[in-house]
Amino acid sequence: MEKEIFISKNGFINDLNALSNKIKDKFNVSVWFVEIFGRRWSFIAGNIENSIMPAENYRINDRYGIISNKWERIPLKEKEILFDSIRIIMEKYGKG
Amino acid sequence: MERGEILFYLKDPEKFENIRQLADKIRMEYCGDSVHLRGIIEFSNYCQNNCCYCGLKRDNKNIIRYRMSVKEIVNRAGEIASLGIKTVVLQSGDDLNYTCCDICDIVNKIKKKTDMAITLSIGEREYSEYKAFKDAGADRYLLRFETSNEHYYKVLHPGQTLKRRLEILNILRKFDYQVGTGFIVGLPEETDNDLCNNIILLDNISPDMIGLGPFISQSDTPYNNYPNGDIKKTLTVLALVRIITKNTHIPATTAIGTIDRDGLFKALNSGANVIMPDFTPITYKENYNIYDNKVSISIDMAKDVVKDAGRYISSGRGDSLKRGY
Amino acid sequence: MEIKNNENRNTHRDWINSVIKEDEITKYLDRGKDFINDNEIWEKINKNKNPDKIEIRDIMDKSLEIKTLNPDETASLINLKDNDLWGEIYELAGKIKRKVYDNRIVTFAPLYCSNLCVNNCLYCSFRYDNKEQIQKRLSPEEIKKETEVLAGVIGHKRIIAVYGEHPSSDAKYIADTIRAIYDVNVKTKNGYGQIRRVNINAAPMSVDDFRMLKEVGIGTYQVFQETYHHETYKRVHPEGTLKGHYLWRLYSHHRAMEAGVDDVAIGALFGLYDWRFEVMGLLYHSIELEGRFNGVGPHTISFPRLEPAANAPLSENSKYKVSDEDFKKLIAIIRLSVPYTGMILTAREPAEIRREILPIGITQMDASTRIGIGSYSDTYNKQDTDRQQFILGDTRSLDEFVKELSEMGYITSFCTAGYRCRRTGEHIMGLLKCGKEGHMCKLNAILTFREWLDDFASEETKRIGLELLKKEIEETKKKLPLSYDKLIEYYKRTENGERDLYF
Repeated sequence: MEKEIFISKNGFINDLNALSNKIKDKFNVSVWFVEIFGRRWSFIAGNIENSIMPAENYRINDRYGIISNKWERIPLKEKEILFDSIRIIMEKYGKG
Repeated sequence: MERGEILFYLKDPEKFENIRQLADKIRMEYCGDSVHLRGIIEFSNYCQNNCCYCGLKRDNKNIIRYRMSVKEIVNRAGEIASLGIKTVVLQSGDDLNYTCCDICDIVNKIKKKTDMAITLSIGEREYSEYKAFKDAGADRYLLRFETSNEHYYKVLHPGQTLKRRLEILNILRKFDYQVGTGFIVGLPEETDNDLCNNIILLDNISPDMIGLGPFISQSDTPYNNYPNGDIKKTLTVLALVRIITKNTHIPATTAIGTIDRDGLFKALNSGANVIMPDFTPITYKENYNIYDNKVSISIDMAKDVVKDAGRYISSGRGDSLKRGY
Repeated sequence: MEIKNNENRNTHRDWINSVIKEDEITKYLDRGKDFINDNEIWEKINKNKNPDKIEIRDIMDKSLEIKTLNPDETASLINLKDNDLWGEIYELAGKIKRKVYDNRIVTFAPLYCSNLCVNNCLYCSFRYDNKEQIQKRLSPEEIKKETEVLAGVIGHKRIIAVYGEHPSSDAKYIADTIRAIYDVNVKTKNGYGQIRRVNINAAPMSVDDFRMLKEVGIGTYQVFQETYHHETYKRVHPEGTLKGHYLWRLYSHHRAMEAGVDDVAIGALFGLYDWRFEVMGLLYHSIELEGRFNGVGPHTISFPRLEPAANAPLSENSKYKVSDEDFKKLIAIIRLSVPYTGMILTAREPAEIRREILPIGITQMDASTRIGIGSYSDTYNKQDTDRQQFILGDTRSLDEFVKELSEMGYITSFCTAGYRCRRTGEHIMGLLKCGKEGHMCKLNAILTFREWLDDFASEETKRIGLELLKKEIEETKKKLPLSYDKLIEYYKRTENGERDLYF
């Protein structure tokens, strides 16, 4: 039986989801991406996790941000690689 | 045509011109130069099935579902008739919310209001319902089989079988419908062998109408990453089908018009003799996303392309050429 | 800015016709019909007249699992007469709320920006035919002044901006006011005050207008159907007015969500028609939204009760007025029917009622509310009936309010989460399955509460609030030892004056 995977119509969202899943697989850390509208950081992709742990957010650029509540589990070097990957995705879709 | 021959032409797109000319000749011989217009109303995009390639699949949540009321459908049909069109096609997903009574009511009212032929394209229903629709006045029915490969059929259409599909075609014929069927050209992982088998199955069924179109991916389905079907391949299949089945009605489908700007024109010159302009009201039309970027075919567009192809619009109902209609 | 009431109905008509986009309604209809079937609703209410104990207990179990009820189940609750069971249901309502929202109550304040209105609703003071009211629309400057009081003096962090339905308060004006509100930043004792979430209650708009508002950072879009009963709706909302269009209003939330607004809020004005019908209407509305938008239902449900309003004939005398007893019942029923949704009880209700109803599942309440246009910055002591939409019942200040809540064991949350807090059964279920019951946003609540206590509370309130926080933190140590350290770190940082540690 065909396994049905729902990929949203947006390649941008797909890539962000894939990146979040990679982080989840590798470090067991949930990161999620948001689109920023003024004061409102609105979830668009990734593995959202509501927990008591404080979530820290980073602004990627004017329009987008990334949030996680377990940044400390990602070693510094890996964090750099992660942000590089994010930059590449942003450029790919002209969202820089 | 022999199997070997079919495969030969399928595998070699350079040879297309040869069969195109032959197909055009046969089309002229059996169907003449008149092109039949069938006006389509896509009256609901709800569907209880989950076909892998289709944007209307039940599990797709990224779509705004709609249902037109009986009144809206009948009024629209009236408008189509007033434009001089002689056949109306009522199409929808497999939407059981329209009960047998509802469909019969719609068919009945359209029959009273106009003298158009009515084609239903509403998927799989109970056999008794097909009978009821016919009694209410439905003339034709479209039900594609998509692939002749039993196993692949199950994969594409979870919960459904090719066997049942073909049985329904049989039943429809028994109930005296003019029957239309066909398949998609270029489904993911499909081979030329599969296409050849599809064509042979078509010949065996010997339907009154045959609908063919290229695979076009829809972004909210599991097949959203597959490449669309190829226009050359599709036209080759169309030509082969015309050559083999001779006196069937074969539309230049909207899908063909979607993958190639001149698709309809090319199809008319490769054996097609029908065009189906759409009349789904604008509000709903954009939500009937069986595949992405579906073009809209207006009646003026249809008239233009018919003229360009050096043909003319038929003034008759365009009933089946097969059984002495 | 004050405007003379000399516009005429014709200019209104043109504006109204330009606002309504028929195709943005038809695309959602099901064979020409909307999702409120008046007959079906009454059929269900009448069919489920004698629910037996077992059925009710099953329904209660289902609610506790945070699953939306179906219409027959809600109808059964509506018909329940057994007092013992009602006792159990009130308890269950509180339990459900705690399961999803723990012991937090979110607070906010309404900001009335404009009372100009093209409608003529029989029950409202803002109605066009009320020639006695003073017409006013606040400019962005005036809005800022109001916000400075709200954020800098009182200490609110969430506002619901309210607008009359009029061409002068169109989407562009609303966007300007939202920007003005967000722009405010006031120095306070230990930090600064600002509004971090602006929700709005405004006229139904087109998808494009909603998109504009999303861009400017709107929180929740709230609009009430008032009554779901087609006939009553027609009667109290004169034809030819914008509000007279039942369908345009009914599908506002669909359009908002289509435009990408994350959170939408629904409600009904109880007293216009039979409360039993309206409760069913709210349920059907929630189910419809869940069905259309991938399981996402309303963010909150509100249930204002018809109260006297100046020069509004209907409000004085309605045969469908809801008694306090029935009010309590209907709130419990809503809590059980849509278990994940937020429920707002406003200061329209008197203090004693708010106290009694709070434990039945309420999650949001306003305080220090002023509903006159421009009233926060004016120094009005008595309520000025000529400027207000209705007359306020609960006039407690935020400080008193927080003190009372703390004494009752509730944390006042100034929740300012900016990411999508989707109120979906699925989302909540996911959390519950991981054992994170009720911890959603907990840290946020603790920190914003501490922040408010430091910046705005009176001595007495601060003392009581801190005691409560001490207990909360102790509890966290026991329940979530791993998170405890991080929590303490952030808490200490807030104590030291750091602000905005979350969003």
